[in-house]
Amino acid sequence: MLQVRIHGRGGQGVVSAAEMLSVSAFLEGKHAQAVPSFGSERMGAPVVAFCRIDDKEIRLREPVLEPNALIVQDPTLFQAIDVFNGLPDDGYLLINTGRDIAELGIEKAVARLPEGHVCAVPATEIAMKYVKRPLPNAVLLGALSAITGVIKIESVEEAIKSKFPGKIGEANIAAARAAYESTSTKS
Amino acid sequence: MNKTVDGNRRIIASQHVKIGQKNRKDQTYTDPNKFFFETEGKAQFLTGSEVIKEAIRLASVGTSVAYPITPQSEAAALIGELFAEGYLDEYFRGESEFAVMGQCAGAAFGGHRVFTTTAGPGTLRAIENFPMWAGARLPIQVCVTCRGINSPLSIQPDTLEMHYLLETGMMVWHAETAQDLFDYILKGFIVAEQPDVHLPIAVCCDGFFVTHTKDTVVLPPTDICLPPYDPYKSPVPAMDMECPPVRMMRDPFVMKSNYISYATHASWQQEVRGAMERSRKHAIALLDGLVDIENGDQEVLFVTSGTAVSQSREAIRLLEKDGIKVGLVKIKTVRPFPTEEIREATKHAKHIFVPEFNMAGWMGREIKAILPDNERVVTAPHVAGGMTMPSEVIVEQVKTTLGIAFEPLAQRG
Repeated sequence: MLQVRIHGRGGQGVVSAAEMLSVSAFLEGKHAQAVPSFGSERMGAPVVAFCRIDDKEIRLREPVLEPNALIVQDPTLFQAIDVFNGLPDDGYLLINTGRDIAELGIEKAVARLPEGHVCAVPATEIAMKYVKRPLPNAVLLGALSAITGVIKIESVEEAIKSKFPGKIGEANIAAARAAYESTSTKS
Repeated sequence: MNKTVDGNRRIIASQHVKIGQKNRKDQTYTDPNKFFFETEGKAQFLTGSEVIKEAIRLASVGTSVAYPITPQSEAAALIGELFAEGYLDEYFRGESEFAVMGQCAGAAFGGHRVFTTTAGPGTLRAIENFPMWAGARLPIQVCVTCRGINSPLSIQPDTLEMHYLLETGMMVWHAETAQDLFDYILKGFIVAEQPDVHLPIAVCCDGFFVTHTKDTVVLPPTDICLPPYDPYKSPVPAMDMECPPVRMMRDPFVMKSNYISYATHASWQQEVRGAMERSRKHAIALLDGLVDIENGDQEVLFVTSGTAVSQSREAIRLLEKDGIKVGLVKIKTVRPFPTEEIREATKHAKHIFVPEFNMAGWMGREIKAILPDNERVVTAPHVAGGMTMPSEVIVEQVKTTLGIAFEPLAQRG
């Protein structure tokens, strides 16, 4: 079972990201589950959402405690909460940042992760270019598809379309595709 | 108690004249037996709240009354969308949960199929009306999306409020998954409205774990629906000021201290309980039994309801890796309580664990109260206030009781 935990701040589309990721897997005929964190979240507060993907039926109904992949939509969260909690040594880490890992001050924390499992994507910049709004969620799903291969980029596009039909969806699809392509060529 | 139901497992569905006709939304009124057992479904990916909406779309509901409280607000709002699309006759917002349940009673007295939703403190605020519904024999359905009810305030999942519903005279069913929730809502109407039952029903699910989690659910097509409620099948006269139950509200026996008053109360309350007993045969047929049993021949069993069942399923997998085989009894109806079924299923068990999402451990007490040799029952683990119950915690409880050494979760760093 692949378990993904998505960290971000209220308003960044964290819950929608988990939802779109799970829909992508559902569209591929896999078993999936999207779980938001349970609370009365507000704009700017740390928010977390979870997604499980498996070939078998998923029995668990609880937040993800040991994620195989972490998506961090806001790098300032590293100073605020223990983002890496429960991440195993072979986990994936995807960060929305235009800076180097060293600049974020998490070099030590990520040293244990295998090569190619840590990926920095300037998702907000890509979103500003295509969507004209600082919403990194769909962009990061494109990058997740590229580094883990767990879902196809076509499924991600389909899921974005079902969540956001029309122009907004199209812009997000273009942004996700751009992130997918630039991440694929990097690794 | 617990009549054996066998044969072709069909329910005495309403032979409503409208079966086969179309409603204003072009849905065909379909016989419940055909609706539940012969209709091909399609897998969809929805949250529990969306599932409530999809169930009500097919339920031929007359009136729904809404009042916002987390985590059911979304479901109540989605039913408002159905009203806007023309699926319901009446939909409005009540002044409080107490008012909502009174308004539901009015609509049900008037002959409508009535559905509402509530949660946590809302359930407690509404509670005076629930025994009134049962005594008035109103087959209203309330979907309870359980959350904490305590102070300090919590909006997190917690099943304590279900304990308050147990002696209201309402049927209380507990869904484990979004699929259960969908099935129980629709089947709940049919059982509640049987002439020999005619009682209100609370279909409960664990808030957030079910309502806010996106999950795979198999749904029937939207061009069929249940036959509408038939008020002429009611076992009590509708709104007759001279006959019970309305007579008893107009001229309450509470005013009198005489033999007639005591006898009326006793017989009326017995009749409500009798109706609850008679609901078993319908629920058994529709739900395929009041419990589900997996590997019931094991010496160690988990017996519980709701998402505690899901967590137990995963714990069973983890324990099997260590060579410990555990069986499972999933309780689907808490009222009526599956007494005989649980006694039979636990006959050979040496250890019976009852994991629960509440501080009181009321399900553990319910089970202890009906079993011989009830020192076999371990009423643990419990979590409360929205805390998760990782499967590993259930595993630790089993190993502790069986005297098997393990490395505690808390020491893993």
